[in-house]
Amino acid sequence: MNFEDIVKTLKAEFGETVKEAAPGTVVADPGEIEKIALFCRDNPLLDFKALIALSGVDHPGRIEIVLHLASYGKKHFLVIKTALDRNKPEISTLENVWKTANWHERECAELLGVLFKGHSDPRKLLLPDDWLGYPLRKDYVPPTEYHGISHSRHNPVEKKRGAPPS
Amino acid sequence: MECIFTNTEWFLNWGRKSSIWYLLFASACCGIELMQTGGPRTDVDRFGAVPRATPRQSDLLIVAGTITYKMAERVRLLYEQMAEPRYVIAMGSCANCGGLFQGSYSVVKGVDKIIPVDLYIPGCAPRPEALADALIKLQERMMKEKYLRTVGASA
Repeated sequence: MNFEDIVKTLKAEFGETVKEAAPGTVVADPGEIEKIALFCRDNPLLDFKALIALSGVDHPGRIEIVLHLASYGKKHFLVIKTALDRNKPEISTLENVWKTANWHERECAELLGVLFKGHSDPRKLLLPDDWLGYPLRKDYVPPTEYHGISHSRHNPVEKKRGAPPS
Repeated sequence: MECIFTNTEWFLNWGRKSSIWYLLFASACCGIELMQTGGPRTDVDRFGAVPRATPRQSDLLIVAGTITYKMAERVRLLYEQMAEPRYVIAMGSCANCGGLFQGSYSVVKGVDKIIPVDLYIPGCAPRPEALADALIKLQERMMKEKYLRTVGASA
């Protein structure tokens, strides 16, 4: 199934909540994402049994969730993007559609501060449990120290350049 | 008396330097070079350096790789579990100063910020020869120690 047919199938089911963007990419409404995901997985023509990646991107004013889907049976791929409000990014979890979304969502939640509603295990995945802030946001300022470990190191090369000529 | 001290110290140091048991611990890609160093080509077993799987039986901690803040506390714990006298080698740029990942929010800028380091090996990653050389340097340092007249005398 090529991309045009995939988009046609999706549009026949969801109408204008799904829009074609770049080649291979559709933009979906964040409220409909769980229904669209279920349809993608269960429709025998689409057959997207695998979620390759669920990631997040910080754009000015919005946070985009990007789903990479694959069908190993039909040998086709699809990217679904959905934009969330940057001040209050919320989306329903896709954990019940693809089990692998569990860890992907935990990572996305700790790095970008997206709230996945209904997630069964909303702990941090990679960062320490007491970490503050969301490191992959563009306006993130790293802490000056963590548990007494200073975050900066003296750079011997830079000092040499700045020193007055002797 | 001085003669006895010197000879006993020499013997103690010789025994210690000939059995540097290092902790089987690696946190990133330098661990591959660490494995290679223990392998048949470089074979640090020649100097009596063999890996141990527990910090309680180790004399040397080779910090091979990037240390994140989450890992930093585990590294410190491993170091504290080792019996004295204990030595630390910072292997590679990451352990020295954060290296390639210095701009990252989660990487410790050098393992000497959490534990005292005896030897630094530059390189990304250092070759097995460099690590073997560091071990020999450490052995030289061990032979110069005056254990009975410093730590042992007060005990």
